[in-house]
Amino acid sequence: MYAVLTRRNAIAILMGTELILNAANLNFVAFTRYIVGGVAGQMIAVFVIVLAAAEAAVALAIILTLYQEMNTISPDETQELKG
Amino acid sequence: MSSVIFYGFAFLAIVTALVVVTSRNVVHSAFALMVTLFCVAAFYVYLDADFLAAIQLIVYVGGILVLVLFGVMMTSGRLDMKLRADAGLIAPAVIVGLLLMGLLLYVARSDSAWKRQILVEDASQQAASHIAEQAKSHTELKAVRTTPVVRRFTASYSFSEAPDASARQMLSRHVEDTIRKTGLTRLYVTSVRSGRGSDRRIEVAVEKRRTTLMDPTRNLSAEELDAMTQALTSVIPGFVPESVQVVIAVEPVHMLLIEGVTDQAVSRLTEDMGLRVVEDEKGVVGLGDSVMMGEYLLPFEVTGLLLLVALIGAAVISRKGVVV
Repeated sequence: MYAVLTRRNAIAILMGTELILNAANLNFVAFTRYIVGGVAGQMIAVFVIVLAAAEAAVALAIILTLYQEMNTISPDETQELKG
Repeated sequence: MSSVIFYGFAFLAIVTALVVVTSRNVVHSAFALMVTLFCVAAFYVYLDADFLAAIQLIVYVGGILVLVLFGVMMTSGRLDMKLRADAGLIAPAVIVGLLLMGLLLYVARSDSAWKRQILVEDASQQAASHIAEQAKSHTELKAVRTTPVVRRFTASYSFSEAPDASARQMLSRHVEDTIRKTGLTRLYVTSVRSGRGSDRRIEVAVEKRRTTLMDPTRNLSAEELDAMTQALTSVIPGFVPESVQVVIAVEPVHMLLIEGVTDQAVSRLTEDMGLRVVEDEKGVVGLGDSVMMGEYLLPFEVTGLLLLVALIGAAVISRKGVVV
C-alpha cells in the first residue's frame, strides 16, 4: 500500500501491488486451511496468481511503451491523458 | 525444528518485503521481492498447499519477476541507478552461489534429509526387540518404535427420518471440520454411507490417508480417544443431538515404525524376518503428507534449478545488452 501510494517509479508501484496480492493470497489459503476447510481458498488463490501475472504483463507493456514515448516511467510526469 | 524454520521464513519475508517498499534502488527491490515471493511459497507448503507453492514459484519467481527485471533493465537508461555490480563482489557472489549449489546437491543426494518410514506388521510382537537389536549394529535403522495403530473410526449417526444426499454431504463436512479442530490434521473422512440395516443411520468412516498412524510420535491415550469422541458428538448443528450415537471402532494392531531405512534394510526385514511391510513412505522431515515435497522432491528441485538458471541467464543477457 505504502509502495503503491508513495513511489514515483511505475515499476516499484507494480511490485507493491504484487506484494498486496500475495498477502491476500496468503490470507485466503490460511483461512481456508484453519477455519473454513476445503480447497475453495486455494482455487481463489490460483485465480489471483493468474490475474497478477496478466496484470504484470500488461502493466509492464504499458510502462515500456510509456518509456519509449515519453522517456520517463514516473506516473507523476505523464500528464498526456489530461484534457 | 519445523516451527523454527517457519519463523525464519516469516522473519525473512517481512524484512525483504520492507526492503521492497523502502529501497531506493529498483533492482534491489526486485531481488528482495524475489525472496519475499519465495518465502510465500514456503508458507504455502506449510499450509498444505503444495500445488499452490509450485505455482507460486513458477509463475511469480520464474515469470513475473523476470518480467519485472526485464522492465527495470529496459527502462534503466535515464534512471540514475547502478546496474553493474562491483567487480569486488564477484568473489563473495561465487562463494555464496557454490554454497547454495552444494546445499542443493546435498539435500538431493543425502539420505539424512530424507525420512523414510516403514510400517511393519508385528503379529508376534517379538520382532520389535529383534529389530531394535539390529538397529544398534546397523546404522540405517535409525529409530524403531512400536506403536498401536488406530486404523479407522466409524461414527454412526441416527436420524429421526431418512437423510437425503445433501444432508449426508453436510454431515461429512462437519465431521471433517471437527476432526481438524481436535488437532488430528491428517485424518480424512473416507466414506459417508447409510448404516447397515437401516436408512436412518449414517456411518462416517474416518481414516488417515497415507499411513494409518494417528501420530507417529506418541501413542493414543484413552483420554484423547474420549476427547475425540466428545468432539465428534458435538459436531452436528442441524441434526438432533440426542439421537447421535458415536461408535469409534479402534483396532489396535501392533506395528513397528522404522525410520531412516535403506532398501537393503527393508529387504532384510521382509525376507529374513518375514515381516510384512504395510506402509513405505519417503519424505522430508517435518513436511507431513506433502506429496510434492516428499515423493517428488527431486523433480521439483530440478524444476526450481532450471528456473533459477533461466532467471540468472535473463539477468546476465539484459545486463550485457542494455548497460554498456
